[in-house]
Amino acid sequence: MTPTLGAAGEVVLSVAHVAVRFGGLVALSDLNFKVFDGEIVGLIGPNGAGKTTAFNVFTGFLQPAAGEVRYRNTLLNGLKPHDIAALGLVRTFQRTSIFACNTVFENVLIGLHRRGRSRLWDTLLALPREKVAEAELANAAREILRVVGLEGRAQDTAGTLPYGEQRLLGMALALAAKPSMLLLDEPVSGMNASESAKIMRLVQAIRASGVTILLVEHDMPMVMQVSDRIVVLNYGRIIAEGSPAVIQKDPDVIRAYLGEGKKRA
Amino acid sequence: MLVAGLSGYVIGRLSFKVRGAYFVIVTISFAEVTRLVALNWVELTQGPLALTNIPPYTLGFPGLGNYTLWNKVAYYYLVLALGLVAYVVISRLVGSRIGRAMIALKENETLATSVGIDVTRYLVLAAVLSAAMAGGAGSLYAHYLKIIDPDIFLFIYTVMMVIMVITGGKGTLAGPIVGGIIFGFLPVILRPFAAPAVQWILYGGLMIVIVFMLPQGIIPALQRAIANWSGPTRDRSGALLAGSAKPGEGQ
Repeated sequence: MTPTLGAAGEVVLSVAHVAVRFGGLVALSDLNFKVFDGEIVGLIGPNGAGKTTAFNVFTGFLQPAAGEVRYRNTLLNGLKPHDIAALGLVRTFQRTSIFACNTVFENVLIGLHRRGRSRLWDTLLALPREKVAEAELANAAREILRVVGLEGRAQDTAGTLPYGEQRLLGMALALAAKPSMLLLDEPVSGMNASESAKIMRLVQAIRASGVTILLVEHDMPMVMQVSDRIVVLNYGRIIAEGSPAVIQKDPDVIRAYLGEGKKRA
Repeated sequence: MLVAGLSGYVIGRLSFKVRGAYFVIVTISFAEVTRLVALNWVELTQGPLALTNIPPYTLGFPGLGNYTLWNKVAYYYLVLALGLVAYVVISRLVGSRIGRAMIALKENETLATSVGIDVTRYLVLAAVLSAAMAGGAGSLYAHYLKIIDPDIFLFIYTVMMVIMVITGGKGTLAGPIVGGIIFGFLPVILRPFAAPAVQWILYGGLMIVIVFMLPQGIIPALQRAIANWSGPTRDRSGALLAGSAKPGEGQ
């Protein structure tokens, strides 16, 4: 399967023979796929197919029992999540994940951690360069809030935002970590049509800024519309891979995933 | 202080492999080991006889000669000054990049590591800073009393500090101060009336009452009361006053 759209040809994420077992349960077996620079790849599959497990392996929250994951030629096996984030591979979470007690602005500042440079002594001695660094971070935070459209909410406590905006803030946090590749875990789950449309535009804007995207999503119209290429998982294995048009016609996929009939395809 | 910071580093590295209750057990064990060493390593600590020949604190002023602190008032100001320094250090830290990383870890560790915050590094840093401060306080204490008695390593003193923080309000800057004032004065007030054992029962009772009535501690409850009193209005920047209570740190 060669990538169709938007692929500059260079492999950024390569997954080779990855397996994960929880006790006797095989969550992933012999997972192989590649993501190319600048692509939006959709990772789909029925519940329990192993999508979130795969995300956890790519971002260091789980170690695979076998196989290897490489990001831009760096082997990720054995690295901690924060090391992987430092390489530019950043994820969002399926369930709303924000710092609920802090303001929206503080949330993004926390996300900007990796871009800050100030050290302990700068802070304690209130050196001028601490002030400069903090001002830079504040500017960067405002810019990110503008991109996701939450600038009007900056001073609100994150936990008080409506659901859709909390999900947006989750994406803002990930963007703040300066990803070169973003893993989105069900970014539009539970959203209404207008909220999903907003997220889709955001995803495309993020890709346009040069970030590669791997997307797990249940919302078929969204995945089909936004992805260049789709990888279908079922019972921990890849059962199909290709462009949205190909996937929609694949008999295995229809049987395994879309279930009875073709009502959503 | 340096020694304390260093042991904070060592204990931090070792014990942050475990979390929650297990972490508490590891650190309590370490305090207990220290007490047993203080009690039994007679060559170093004179055991139960205590170390008694500790000189009073001498401050060296360049060009002005030395000033030895003999009386209580002088000690009071020295301790007050260092307490202020500690407060300033912590309050600067809370508002900084490092403080934000620590707050993030407290609130949601998974999310914090996903944006690139190194958990172990910041937990250890927190342990080192607090151990260094406690070490500074300990050395002042020793010079003030001029004696180090193994009893000072008793479990009750460890618990006492935790009680101060919890009743005052953990995660706030003023909380430990308020808790410290309450539980610092209580023994003095109670001394004429109650035996130590009775005092401990009273502390426990007081803490239970406070925790039941103000589960988050005195300071957060006060902040909420003030916010409600002035009405849940929005201030000019659009922030809810009730929600803009200082999201402090520093447990």
